[in-house]
Amino acid sequence: MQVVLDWARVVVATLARAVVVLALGLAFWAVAPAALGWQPTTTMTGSMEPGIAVGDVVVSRPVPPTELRVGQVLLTDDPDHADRLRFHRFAEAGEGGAIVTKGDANPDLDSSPVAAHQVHGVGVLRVPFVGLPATWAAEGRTAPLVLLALSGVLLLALTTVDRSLRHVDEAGRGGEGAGPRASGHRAPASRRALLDHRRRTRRRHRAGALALVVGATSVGALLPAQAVAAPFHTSTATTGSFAALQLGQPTGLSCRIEGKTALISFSPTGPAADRYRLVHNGRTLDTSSTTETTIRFTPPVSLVELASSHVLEVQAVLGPVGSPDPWRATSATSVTVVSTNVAGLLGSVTCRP
Amino acid sequence: MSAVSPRTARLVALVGVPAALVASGLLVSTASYSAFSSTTQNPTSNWTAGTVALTDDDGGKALFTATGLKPGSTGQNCIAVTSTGTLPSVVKLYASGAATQTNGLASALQLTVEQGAGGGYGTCSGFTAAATDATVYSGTVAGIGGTTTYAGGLGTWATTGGAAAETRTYRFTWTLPEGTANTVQGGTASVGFTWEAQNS
Repeated sequence: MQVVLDWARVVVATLARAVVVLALGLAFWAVAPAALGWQPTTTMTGSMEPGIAVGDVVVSRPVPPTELRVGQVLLTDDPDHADRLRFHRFAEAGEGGAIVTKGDANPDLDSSPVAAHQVHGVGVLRVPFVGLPATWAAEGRTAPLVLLALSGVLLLALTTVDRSLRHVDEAGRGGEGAGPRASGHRAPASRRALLDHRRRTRRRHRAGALALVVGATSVGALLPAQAVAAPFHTSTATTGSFAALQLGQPTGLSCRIEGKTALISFSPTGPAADRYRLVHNGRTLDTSSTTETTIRFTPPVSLVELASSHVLEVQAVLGPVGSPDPWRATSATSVTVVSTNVAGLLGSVTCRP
Repeated sequence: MSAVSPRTARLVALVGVPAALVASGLLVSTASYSAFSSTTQNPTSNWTAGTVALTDDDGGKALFTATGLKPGSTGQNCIAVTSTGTLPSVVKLYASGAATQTNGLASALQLTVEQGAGGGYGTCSGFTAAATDATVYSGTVAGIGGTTTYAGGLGTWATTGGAAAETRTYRFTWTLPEGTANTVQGGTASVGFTWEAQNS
């Protein structure tokens, strides 16, 4: 029975040590490349799944811009967030040498391309799990962190359960049922020497534990503080289109005389205008404004000329009377009204074709 | 089973450590190989890490197709944007590209975008503007066309993620002001609007 228990202690302690060493080894791979100038970063999102998972530390090696290729996974500045990094795949070359990236798990290309000078490096190493505590800390999840710390303490404690078996002679306890003593191990000479030896052993163990704690802490501190964005993103879109109306030019201008007033008729075209008015020599006659399709025109009296001719166009107008720049459309044709003046009085008014 | 001699115990202890070191190296190299050797990866649909998902309710139709605009014309439409992602994200609105226009219509058209709740595509009845930061944009259509990146995007909608869908309605109101110059007559303008969610 004792034999089975002893073996169990050896196996458990060995496994515990293996797990601790494995964790430290992973941490080493995550941190050591920094000495070469390579950049380790923690993956905070699953946008590169299934290749790269949350909590992985990825190490990027700097490469010259000319060696960037489509398909590489690049660590770049995130143009969308000033203080974040993006770790996405080089999907295609964009305009002007820009690099269009995409997360493997994202449905679309990243909306913002990056420039070659924003590339920190190409991903070369992936260290699984090591960044998980960092992601938990970033998300403020204390429960798994506490659990991790507790299991760490438990593991460290388990590494020592076979200590008495390994140091059975030095401890002088004699292996219970250990059978014949291994040759070459001297028995402690005296009680004093035994105590000294125990003290030394204890000190050594304490130093070892201290080194482990210091090592783990420094590894933790060295671990990439930069939270890497491999941002998940998605978008939805809609459109808006607008068309302003275009007023139609009045057509079919005709002229007839009623007494000393010319009546100018026309046909409106296109969208409804607010009103119509006459244009004479490029000047608009807002006084002629009407909503009818016939505009009355009484020629002004000229004191110097015996006969004056008025070339009139019809303008469709959108906007209130008096507005400086209403929307308008002027007829392509015109009518001419001729008036005669006699001694400062209006003589006759005729339409000229 | 023979008893555990101190030598055996030490031997087992010694073997465990290098074996674990080798295992860590193997783990890293295999993980690196699977992550970086292939140039494409097929995305899986069962992400353990959560997702960001965004949809709108326009059914693929345009938010506006307004014609016959004249000075004083105005119009309004709403669109409900829904986030169903499990990760917290920040949703921003930006133009899909620069506004295209003839006769300067986009520069003349005024646009106001408000965020709130209620209403949806086709009707703004029931829309209530948010208590704070209701106005996302106020300016010309050409102006919003100058905002084409997520970094410069408009709006402050931080979704919390989780199981429940979150919806926000955006009310777009456009106006062609009275007194718009005659040169704008017959002009056209178009602009696209994109909502992008990025996990925060």
